[in-house]
Amino acid sequence: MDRFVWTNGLLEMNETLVIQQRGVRLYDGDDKECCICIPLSQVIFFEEQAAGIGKSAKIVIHLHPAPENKEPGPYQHSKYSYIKLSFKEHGQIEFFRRLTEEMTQKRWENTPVSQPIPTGIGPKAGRTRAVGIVGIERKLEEKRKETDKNISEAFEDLSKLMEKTIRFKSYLLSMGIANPVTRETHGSGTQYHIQLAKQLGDMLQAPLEERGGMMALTEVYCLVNRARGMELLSPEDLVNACKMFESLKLPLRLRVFDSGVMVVQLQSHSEEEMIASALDNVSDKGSLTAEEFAKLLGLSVLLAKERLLLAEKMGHLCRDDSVEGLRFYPNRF
Amino acid sequence: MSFEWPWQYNFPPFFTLQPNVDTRQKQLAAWCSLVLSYCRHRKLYTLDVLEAQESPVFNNKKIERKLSVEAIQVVFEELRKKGNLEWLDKNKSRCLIMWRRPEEWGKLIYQWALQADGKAEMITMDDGKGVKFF
Repeated sequence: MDRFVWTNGLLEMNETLVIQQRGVRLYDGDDKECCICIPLSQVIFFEEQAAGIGKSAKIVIHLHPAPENKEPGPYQHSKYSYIKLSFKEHGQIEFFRRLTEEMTQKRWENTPVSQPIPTGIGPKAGRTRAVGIVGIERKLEEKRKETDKNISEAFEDLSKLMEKTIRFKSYLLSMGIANPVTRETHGSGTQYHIQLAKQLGDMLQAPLEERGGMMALTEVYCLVNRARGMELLSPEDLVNACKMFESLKLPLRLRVFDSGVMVVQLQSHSEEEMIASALDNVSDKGSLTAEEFAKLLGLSVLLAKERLLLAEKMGHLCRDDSVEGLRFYPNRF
Repeated sequence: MSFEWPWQYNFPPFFTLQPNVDTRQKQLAAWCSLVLSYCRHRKLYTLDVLEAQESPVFNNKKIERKLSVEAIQVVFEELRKKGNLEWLDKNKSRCLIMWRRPEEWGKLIYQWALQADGKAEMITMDDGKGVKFF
């Protein structure tokens, strides 16, 4: 492994100790090795290698070719372009995490290069001056850095994408949709709506219960489509599916208020309870606006207003409409 | 003697015309009796609609609520239906408030006449507003 340089084991000016782990064995390629250092800027990519029977967990680090001006190290040439760190006493997970952090932050790019700057020529911001061999070397250095950056950025995106995919899949599963009903699987038309209604019936139970038994259709639309990710539902499909709840004897109902607001509610959901609780809350506080009521119950303002209006319709509440806004009082008339 | 305001007068919803039909009926009934008792107390026989908006009856400065012009019209219409109000002009800008309806007046006078002299005969004229004394 010709990328290593001899060092005294102490920290240089621009170096900080990130992590120290005992019992990590260094392999040159697949050959076993000893104490040296590699600047992180040399690292292209690294990955974990799981432990096996009789084998410790390892981190494999892929490296750039050695730069010409590299200081002397244990080996001048190596047939490998990667090294392995074998964690005999574990700790590889934390090491990997910290290495990932450092590779993302790339702190070494912010610290000044410890090489002496040639007198009389200061490097211009963002551009290198092509003056003689030093200029050429510097240009090569810049190019190398660029390539470096691009490669690690590319790998960054890949790892982020991997993360997202895994997280997305687990969210789908948590929503209970392993195979979303699509027009391909079930065609269009009533069959599609029926299947969809059934799937919605399963899916919406938990969210509805969390929200006190009622959700605005818009909320349902957002929730469902977010979970599906692909093959999104159109609003018409959603409404048509919801209209089938009753005929399919599902425990959900689509309901339209006087104001035109559409909600999906659990069939078990009791109207009287809702109104009684609304009256209690209002009496308790003397008077409430829709916003205050929403905040109190953790509902959306839309649904809170519908509840208050319903209670008013039943004669339990009366309204005070002024420049201060719309407020509801217990009906003392 | 200062006027005693009813509890509704300090209840903010009283100044908003209620959409619920049953609630509205009760509300209007309360308004009617308030207007009539206030007029009786202040010995007011006529009311001007535009001025009324600023009158303490329809404008409670303490709770910063007042009845809108539309709502005042509704209250006046209610009073008219009950026989306690008559419009003095076609534009409905000025009205006569009868905190005792003509028939009520008639009865009272008749009874007074009976007491006074024992002889009184009621003769109706036009709208039943007239009583002749003998």
